[in-house]
Amino acid sequence: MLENLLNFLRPVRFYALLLLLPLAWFAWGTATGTRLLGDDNESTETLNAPGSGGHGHAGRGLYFHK
Amino acid sequence: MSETATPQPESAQLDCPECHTSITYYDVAGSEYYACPNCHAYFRWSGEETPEVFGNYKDAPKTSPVLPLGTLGILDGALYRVVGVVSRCEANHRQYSWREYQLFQPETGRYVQLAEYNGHWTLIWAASHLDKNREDFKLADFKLFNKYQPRINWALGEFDWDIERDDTLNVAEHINPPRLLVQERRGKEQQWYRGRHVAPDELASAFNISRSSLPHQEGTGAVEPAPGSNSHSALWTLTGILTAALVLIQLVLAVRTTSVLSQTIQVAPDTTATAAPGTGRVLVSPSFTLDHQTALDIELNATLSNQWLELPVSLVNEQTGRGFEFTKNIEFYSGVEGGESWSEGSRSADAVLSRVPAGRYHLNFYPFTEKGVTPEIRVNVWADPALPSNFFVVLGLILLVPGLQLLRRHSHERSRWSNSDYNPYATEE
Repeated sequence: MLENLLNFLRPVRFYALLLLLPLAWFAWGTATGTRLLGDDNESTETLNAPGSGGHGHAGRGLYFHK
Repeated sequence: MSETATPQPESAQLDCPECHTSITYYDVAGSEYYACPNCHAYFRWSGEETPEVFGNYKDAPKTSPVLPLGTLGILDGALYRVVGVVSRCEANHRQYSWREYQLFQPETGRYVQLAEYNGHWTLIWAASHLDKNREDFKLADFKLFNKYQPRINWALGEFDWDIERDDTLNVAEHINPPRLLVQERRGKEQQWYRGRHVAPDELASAFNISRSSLPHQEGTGAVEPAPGSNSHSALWTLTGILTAALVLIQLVLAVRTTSVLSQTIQVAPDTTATAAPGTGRVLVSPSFTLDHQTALDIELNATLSNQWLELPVSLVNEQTGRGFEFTKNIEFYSGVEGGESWSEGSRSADAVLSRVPAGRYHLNFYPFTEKGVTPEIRVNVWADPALPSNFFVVLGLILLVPGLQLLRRHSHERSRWSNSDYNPYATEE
């Protein structure tokens, strides 16, 4: 049965190989915990002090509300 | 012509009754009607002393057809010789004109026909008991493409029937690319023919001529296969298998997701003198540990009612000091206007942080809201989230080529049917 399927898919075997690229990309994203289109992290610097909550945090913008 | 049982010669000669040019003919036993390649006189001769001349095809071209009379070629493993060419048009639409090359198989005496329209070629043969049970020629699988009465523009060569009688035929063409079914009716008589598309490369190879000598292709042939027809089924099977596998993996990943923090925090105003009105005190979550690098999905739900909250958040690694930061603006408004309730915004927001290394972490919150507003914020942090965007990005890449293929095939079909009076796409235009 598998042999029949492989024979049936023979016309698209090179395309199947090409599809390994996005599948490998997906597997890499899953294995490394990476969101492929970028995440929400806005940090532009590394905080130096452990537990240094509040110091040097970036990303707070002015917020004018209606 | 001889009626004895002795083997027929491969060819014979006769003189045109009009211009006396010597004409070579190949179906020595069968041919009765002739169109002179020189003066284009059309006449009947079956051994009588004087041929019967019916007329003259004055519109015949002076140049030789693409497949000249007498040319040998091999199609479907059988040797054929071009013995006649007829140019026909539709009685009601004379601008639709095509050529039919009569191919004679010397070994069997069988005829087939190569029809050429706008550079698209179709091999046509009479349906017979030999192939009557072929599953690929069931009328139910075919669609009516065209109905017409033929008229002859001109002809060259030899024929075993009176081609002028074909003017009384009613022809219906049914297609199931790359196959063709043709019904010819004359009164109560009917005859079926079968056909298949012939690619120019196959034709050039069959008759050992150059591809460039064939007529330029215009538009889409009636039974020209759509792009990717050979691999269409395999492509969609592969796409189906990969999509199913991807969905399965995504479901497994969704189950694998684990909660590392679930906490409710209360915004409290910062009462220090330097703090701007509305600034909340910095809130710190309990610590949690990640034992491997992962993505984190941080969900925030605030008890807002016609209020807004700006919430910068820092995820801090307690061992290295490395920080991840994001800001969410959460607002929710609702009310009733004119007896209709309405709402705007949302009480929840979420953020995804990628590639957070293993380690011990906590979250810092820096709330800023309207003066006097102190909402509760429910914080849930999930490790190893399923990341739907990854799924949809890869699914999109998997579906990209099949999707483009579908568009190409749809365009091809529209182009094909634009030549038909039975165009199913006509209402879309």
